[in-house]
Amino acid sequence: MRVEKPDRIRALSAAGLLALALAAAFPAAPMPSARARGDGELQRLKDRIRSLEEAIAAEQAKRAGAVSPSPPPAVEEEVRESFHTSPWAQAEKPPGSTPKETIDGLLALAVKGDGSGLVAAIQKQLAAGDKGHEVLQDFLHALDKDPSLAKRLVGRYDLAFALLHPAMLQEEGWARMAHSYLSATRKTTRTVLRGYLYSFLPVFLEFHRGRFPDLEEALTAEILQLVQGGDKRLRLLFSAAESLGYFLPIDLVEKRLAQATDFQAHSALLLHLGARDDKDAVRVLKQFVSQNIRRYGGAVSQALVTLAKMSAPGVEQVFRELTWTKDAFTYSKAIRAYFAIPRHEGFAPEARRYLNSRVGFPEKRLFINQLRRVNPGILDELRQLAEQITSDEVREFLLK
Amino acid sequence: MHERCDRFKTIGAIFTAAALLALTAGSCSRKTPPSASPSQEEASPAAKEPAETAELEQLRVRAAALEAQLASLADKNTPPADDASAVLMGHLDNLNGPGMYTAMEKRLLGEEKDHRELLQFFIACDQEHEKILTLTHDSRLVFAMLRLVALYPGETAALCAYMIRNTREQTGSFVRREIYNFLPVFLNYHRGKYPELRRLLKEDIVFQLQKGGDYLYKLMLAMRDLQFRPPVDSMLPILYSEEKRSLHGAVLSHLASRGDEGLQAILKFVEEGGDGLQQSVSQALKHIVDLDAAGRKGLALRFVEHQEPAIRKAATFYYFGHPREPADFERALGYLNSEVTVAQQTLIIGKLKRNSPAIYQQLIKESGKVRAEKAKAILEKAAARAKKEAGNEG
Repeated sequence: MRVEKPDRIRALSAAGLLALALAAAFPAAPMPSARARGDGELQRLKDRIRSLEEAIAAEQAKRAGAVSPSPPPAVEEEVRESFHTSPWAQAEKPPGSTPKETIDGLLALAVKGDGSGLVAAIQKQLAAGDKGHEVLQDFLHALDKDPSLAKRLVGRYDLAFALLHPAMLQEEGWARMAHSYLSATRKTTRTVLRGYLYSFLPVFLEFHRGRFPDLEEALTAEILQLVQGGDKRLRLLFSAAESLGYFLPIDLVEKRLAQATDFQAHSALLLHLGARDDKDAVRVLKQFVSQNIRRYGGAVSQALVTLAKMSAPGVEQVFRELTWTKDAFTYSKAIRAYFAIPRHEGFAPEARRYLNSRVGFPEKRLFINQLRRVNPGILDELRQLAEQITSDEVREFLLK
Repeated sequence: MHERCDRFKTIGAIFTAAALLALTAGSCSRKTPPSASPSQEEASPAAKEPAETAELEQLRVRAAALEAQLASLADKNTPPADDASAVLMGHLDNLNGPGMYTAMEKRLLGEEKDHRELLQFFIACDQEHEKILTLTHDSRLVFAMLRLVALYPGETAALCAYMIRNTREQTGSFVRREIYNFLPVFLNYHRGKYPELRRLLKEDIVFQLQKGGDYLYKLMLAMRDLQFRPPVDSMLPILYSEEKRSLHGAVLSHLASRGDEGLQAILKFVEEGGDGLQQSVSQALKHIVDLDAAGRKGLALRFVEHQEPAIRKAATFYYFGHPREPADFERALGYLNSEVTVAQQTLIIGKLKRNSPAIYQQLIKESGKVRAEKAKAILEKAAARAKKEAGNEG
């Protein structure tokens, strides 16, 4: 097993050495006299003034030019080799081999809230190779036995900030540790630390896309397994999957949507379908709306707004069907969702058609208020041709 | 866009802090090493010193004016339309974490002009508030910025210093809010490493307090995290401003924790507060009475016997918030018989019942002395209830 020696750490060490060298050089230089200090200050101020004048001139020239920005150049991103974490995740020993006093020492730092001390201890273990990783796994399992301490570690601003450092400074070691922990706790998926990992890991992996393929694969496989198994943390699981660029099989999503009975589950599934934004998602959403329009009012409204935000083919067709119906209830819901996102003035006739329809005044009043917030341009258009509104009551409210 | 943030509820604070961190990356103005100018004429030290001092002073004034001009150019309504801003904004719009990282890294490690570009970008985001919220809340962008903070703490410290200096006058900007969120955590993590930045932040806190304390809550959190106690005088402009009434409670609480110096400021405020600050004076009196109860004996009496009726009444009201001896019966009776509202009468009877039962019982016995109808009715009702209970027990 290898011990991680990231280039970055070497770079930092080099910077540290340079700083030390500079620090060592300065005291060796003769102390300037008061006169020399005065001359130095004079020169420094002159230099400063010159550079400020140049900067101001450049700023003013730039603003006077007011050129339109050129397209952003392509970003040169770091290209890094893949780092495989599976061998360790599979080979990790069962917990319990670390001496109690070592674990107690780490736990004591957590209890004390000594963020930098804890980070230093973790980094030391990360750098110590297999033995250090065993210690860290045991530490994580010990934290699992004390959920309040685990929550405190991440819930406290200063500690959380401190703990981000190992993940940023020793990425490979950290990925290895995370994978081993996920692997060892596969059967007890509800630990506090796992909850945090599900929040952090997808962001970490998304940033380092492709660099930790084993970990990505393990996480997506676990997400699939959990969703299949009926896990209720759908929002967390779907968000994690989306961050990894992974969409679960549509039939599984469809099945969970059909089984969902509470708003939380509906909401997570509908958000996920919106993120997919493909024809399968449109089909599932359309079906959900048509089957549940009088059953789950809030969820259906969310489904319709989700559809309205999508760009996948077939969306417009769905709205055409829903807004050319004799069912005033469906029509009202669909049109409100359709105008819940900004539309250009060309949609004013559609809005006017609704205001002249058989739908009741209270719904139309809500619709006009919604236009005020989301589509003021269309509202202006409707006001300009207010005589085309057939109902006095609606026209009056429109012009108010 | 912010849905992703939900996943970070537990560590949301960290990430927000991180975003703040990233934002706060500013660079200290570089201190070029002094170098004697060979072109300068030599003169005798005695003759040169006054002239040199005057010249130095002129140059300092000029440099300060230019810095202010540059900072103002950076902040004015015109968002920068250069490549740097377009690049950064492009990554923001695309929620491109790695792209943002690379673009910011280049500028973080650069020179003052690069730091200026970053600051301009933050200010441009601030002007379109939705953008600054995205930058500081979207997990992909926050991660990128946190990574920079972790990898380049020295450069981050320098950028923070640059930003503090160049946003001093923009007291209400989100950038400043983020500075107060992030920097104390950063400095505490790197304890002892950036004393100049710590000093600069403390000076800035004092400056902001004197300017009226925008983001006072954040300032106070920063003070707590830095274990910094600014001079009491720096808080007085807020306390004496009628427009800042909503902040008075926080300032008074702080002063009450500042020992003698804070207490003197509160005492002075009560005497000089005036009608416009009556509500805040009342809050100040509560702190005084609480301090009295906590061991600073004799403080409260001065105000419960004050010649100004409004001060006397408010002080007496809080005075009975603590246990009192039967000797204070007349004072309680006097309060009930003074021109106080029915609500205040009811509240003080409740306080006496809880904290000073002897006085309460005596009031029940001598309820005839109470002139206020509502208070009298309450006491008589209590007396009747007590009598009934005594009868039942008998």
